Amino acid sequence: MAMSYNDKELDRELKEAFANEFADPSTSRLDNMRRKILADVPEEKPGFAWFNLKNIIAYGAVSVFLFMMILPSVMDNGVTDSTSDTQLQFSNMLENEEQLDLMVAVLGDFAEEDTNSNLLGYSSLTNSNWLIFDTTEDSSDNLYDL
Amino acid sequence: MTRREWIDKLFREYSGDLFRYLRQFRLAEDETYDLVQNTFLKLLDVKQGSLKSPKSWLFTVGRNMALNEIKKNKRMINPETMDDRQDDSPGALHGMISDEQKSDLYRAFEKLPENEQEILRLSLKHGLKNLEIAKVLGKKEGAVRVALHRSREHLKDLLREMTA
Repeated sequence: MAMSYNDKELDRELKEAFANEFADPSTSRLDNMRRKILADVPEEKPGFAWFNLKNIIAYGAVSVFLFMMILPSVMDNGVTDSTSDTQLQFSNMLENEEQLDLMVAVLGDFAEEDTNSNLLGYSSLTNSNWLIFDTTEDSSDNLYDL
Repeated sequence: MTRREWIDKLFREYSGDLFRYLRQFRLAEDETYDLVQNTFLKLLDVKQGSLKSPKSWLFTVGRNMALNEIKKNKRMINPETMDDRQDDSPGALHGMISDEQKSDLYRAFEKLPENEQEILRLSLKHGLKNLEIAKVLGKKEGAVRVALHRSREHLKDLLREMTA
């Protein structure tokens, strides 16, 4: 009678047949081989492990500390200096009331006009400082940075 | 885990299975041991932790070395003379199963083409997943799935013919 298997039976029978198919390797021979291979593994030099969690935390903390130290001086000097040209352009534009109204319209929510003192203040998106323009004609220095 | 510990762990885990897998190429026993050793020596060049499936990597490297060895043997040996570099002794070439002990199923299995035998061994004997088999054989996963199915069907046909 012809033998027939379904896939599961076939797999199980084959696994049993494979178990004794080839002789196992000699344990002592493999052990000697393992020692020989391990002897060829180069000694590890202590190096910097970038992905070591301790290093990430330690160097992260140092970086944040340094950043916090540098940030105030950048805010005080770098940002204000870099915007000085823009501030000058604004101050030159503000020659009359119409221009002042225009500036308020353009600056929108970021600007406030003090009609009593002819001062226009706006806050830059990149700088939380308020820049104050004095729109009086006789003002020689019409820019104040608060 | 140091590199040494990593290699030690992989050797303890897979060297025996690699040896049994490489035996199917019917090289002499000493040559098979050499292949296992050379495969693990290649592992020394591999970055620790870069292998998704170390077992399939070891099998792939070992297999390529075995096939190179077979090609080399064919070039070196005069076909008219006996190939004394191959281990044809009973219990070595076909393992420990004597002819009397072989089941009908195993006899049918031996009649399968070598590529079908290999794919069934990799799946059922060595427990590799289809994707891992695909890596070892340099095929696509879908092709492995189809080949496994065909090998099973072929084996069933052979078994039916033998026992009819």
